[in-house]
Amino acid sequence: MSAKYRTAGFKGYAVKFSPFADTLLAAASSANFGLVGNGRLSVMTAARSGPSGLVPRQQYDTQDAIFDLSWNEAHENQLATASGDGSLKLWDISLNNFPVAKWHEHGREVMSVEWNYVSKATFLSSSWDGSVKLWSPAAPRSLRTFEGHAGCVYTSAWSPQQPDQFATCGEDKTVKLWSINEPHAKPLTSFGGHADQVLSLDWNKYTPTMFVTSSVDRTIKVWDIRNPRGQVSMFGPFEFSVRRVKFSPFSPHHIATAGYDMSASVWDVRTGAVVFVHDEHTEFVFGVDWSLFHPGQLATCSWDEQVHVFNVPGTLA
Amino acid sequence: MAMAFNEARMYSMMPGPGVAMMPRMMAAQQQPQQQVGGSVEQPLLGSTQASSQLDLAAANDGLAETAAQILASVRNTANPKFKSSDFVSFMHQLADRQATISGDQVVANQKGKQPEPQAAAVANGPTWASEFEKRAEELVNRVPAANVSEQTPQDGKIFSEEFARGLERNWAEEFEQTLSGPLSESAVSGHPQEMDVKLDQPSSQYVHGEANTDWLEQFKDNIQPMLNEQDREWLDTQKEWEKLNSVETAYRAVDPELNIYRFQQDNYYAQLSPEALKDTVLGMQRTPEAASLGDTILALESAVAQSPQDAKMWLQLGLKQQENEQEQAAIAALRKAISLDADALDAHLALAVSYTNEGYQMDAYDELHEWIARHDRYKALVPESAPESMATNETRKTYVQDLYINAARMSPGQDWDPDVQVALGVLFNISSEYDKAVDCFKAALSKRPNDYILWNRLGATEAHVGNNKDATAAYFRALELHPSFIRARYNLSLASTNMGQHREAAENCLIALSLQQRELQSMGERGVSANPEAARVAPAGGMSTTIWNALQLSMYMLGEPKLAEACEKQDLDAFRSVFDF
Repeated sequence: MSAKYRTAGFKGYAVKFSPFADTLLAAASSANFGLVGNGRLSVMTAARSGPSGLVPRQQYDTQDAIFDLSWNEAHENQLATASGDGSLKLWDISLNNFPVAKWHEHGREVMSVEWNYVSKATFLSSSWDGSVKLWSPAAPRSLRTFEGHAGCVYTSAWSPQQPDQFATCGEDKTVKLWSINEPHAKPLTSFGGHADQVLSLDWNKYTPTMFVTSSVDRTIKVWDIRNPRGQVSMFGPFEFSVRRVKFSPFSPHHIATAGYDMSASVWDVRTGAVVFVHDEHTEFVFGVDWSLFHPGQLATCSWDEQVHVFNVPGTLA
Repeated sequence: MAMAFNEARMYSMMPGPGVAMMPRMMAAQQQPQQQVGGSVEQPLLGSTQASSQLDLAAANDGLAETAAQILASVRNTANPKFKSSDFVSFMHQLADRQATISGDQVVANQKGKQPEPQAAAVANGPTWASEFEKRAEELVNRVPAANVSEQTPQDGKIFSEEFARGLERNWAEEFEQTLSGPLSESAVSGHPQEMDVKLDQPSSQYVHGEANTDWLEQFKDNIQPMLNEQDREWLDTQKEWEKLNSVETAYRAVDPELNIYRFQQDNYYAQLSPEALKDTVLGMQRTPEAASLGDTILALESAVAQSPQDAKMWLQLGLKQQENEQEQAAIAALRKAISLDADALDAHLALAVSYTNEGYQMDAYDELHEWIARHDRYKALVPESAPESMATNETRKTYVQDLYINAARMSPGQDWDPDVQVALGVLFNISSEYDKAVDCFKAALSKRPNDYILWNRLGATEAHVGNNKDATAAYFRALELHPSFIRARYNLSLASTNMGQHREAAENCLIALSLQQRELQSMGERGVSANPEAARVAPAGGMSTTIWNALQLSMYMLGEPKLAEACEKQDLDAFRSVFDF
């Protein structure tokens, strides 16, 4: 039975578990489906199962929509959010009101933010303005800017093994691999192969050369970074695109997806078989995240204003 | 109203096929930070005002049309959730113009007010279509996307640009072209001016949501002919590729290019008589260090061109192309060898190595299985149930591994078979058990200390585990035995890169490339004589793209952007002033 929480009036965009506390999670949501209006950051504890199983702990409302969030890997009370007005904000959940830091350099909506979970000292943001920026919570300005995508960069994701490498995907249908040490801020490689915009990307936590992408072309593709010519395998095309993919922190073979078919699923990437379907949402599911503490536990958030936490039955080995 | 609308975000999703995400517009004027609770209620009034009713009409058109497009794309789904979806209702409201965006919020359009602006637009001023034509023109001269947020709110350009973006290509430009084309069937057709006449009668059709969506439906159907030649080709190949790339073809070499061996042009060995050529080839095989790799390959190409049924010759060619760091050519040649002689064990093993290098792991397993199944000594180990065990990716791996371990056990003590050790080494490479692979190769090397191929494989395996120093030592050994061993030199440059020695890495790449290039040049010097039987295609035996790519990376790491560009053009001379090779 799922534990639930309602972000009333706000449509869920992203949900992430805290890397420090096993029952702590946060959700980013926006009014009017993110079209106009405010945003809300909700922090909650997974206390028990059932419709009020997620207990709210903090709630912050923002002028503009929030599209993504990422917990600070080095500070247990902090998390960063990505805003519709192009800014990034750092929040401390022990404080009740305003963010502790704000950075505004992107020219357009920030679509993703991710903390480096290997080096833990920096985080990335990617934006509709086509750029990706590297930040430190202690620095007032971005450390580096990476330009190479034509159009919106939907996701930037750190490599689980190389602390200096990350991959991005975007509106220009490409996936690019970067190193923060590359002197000219140019991508190391560019992977073509999707027929349409690429929305989401995640790395295999066990096989550091593998990553998975999902695209508007309604497919999911598995890639090997050593082979830029094309994907290793492909699932789909489905009826609707997948908005977010996430590799399991406990299994090299399983991904969770959230999509426009209004459901979230778990897949085995070796076979393309769907292992589990979470069908309880009634609008597009935009966010999905795996628990780092409880194998097989997932959180989802959706435009139906619901955040769900549930366990995938069976082992995922 | 228009300025408020332009401040709003145009945001569209892609729930179904083909409706792409559209960028949200940021507020052109930032409002002062207010208490968040209050701002939701108060509409944000910017200082800019709508300049014309036309902009308003067009802006509202765009929002409604995008909403209608989304609705069209989800219309045919069997998914029951869409019927009761709030988002879909919201899209209906926008499409029917019962709601619109004003400032920072969504507002309902008051009844009675709505038809007027549209009717005015239709009857009096320029029509929707001519308005669009104007936008199309703007688009042709459009400003890059980066400037979007700097444009003033009155500029309708922002809007149509997003609309064009929404359809993933220069929609408006193509729309212009097709106005007289495939859309002539639909209501929107022909010269924009003619539209005035047509609209006078069914004007009401263009006011309400229903007809709009019909038009959009039709338009979506007409998108196909709108695609230009290139797009169509791309779609076709994409469909082909998708057919091939299902789960069954994961980790498999399905590229049809791999079946074609591309011969080099201007092969001077073609001048030799068949007997002389045979002698040359034999001589090269006896003393491989005497001739350069490039020459050997040329001679072998001539030989297979003259006797295309000679499986042994194809095998030699494949092996040499592996040494030459030309994997595709190697695969093509080895496949040819196997098609002529299915029992060529060396070919199967070599092909397994090529497949492993390229990531085609399942094919690699197949080849290793072939090796055992055709080996006189070991074929008895293959059980009747082999086909079942080879059926899925998971079972195949364990099954083949077990087979080889049994083969190794067959000859215990001093009598063990280095071939099996080599094959096991390749197997462990596939499954990324690199430590075990290293043991296997080292063992095989103890019986074959002068096998430079094995030294290179050992090096490559060490490199995979990150033992770059050991890898380098192994590569040096290989190069001592075979100085023109391009692959080993390329691998050496990779190891240098991994150790942060970018200059050494670049130098090794350059040595390898210059070796490959010199062959091309010396060919030219010796005279040209076309072999009529050889395929006249661009040489695969030229300089290796993988080596150029590695060199380019080194240039980035050394901070030499101009030289990195030279890599794109494969211009070796650009490097001579900076590097010694």
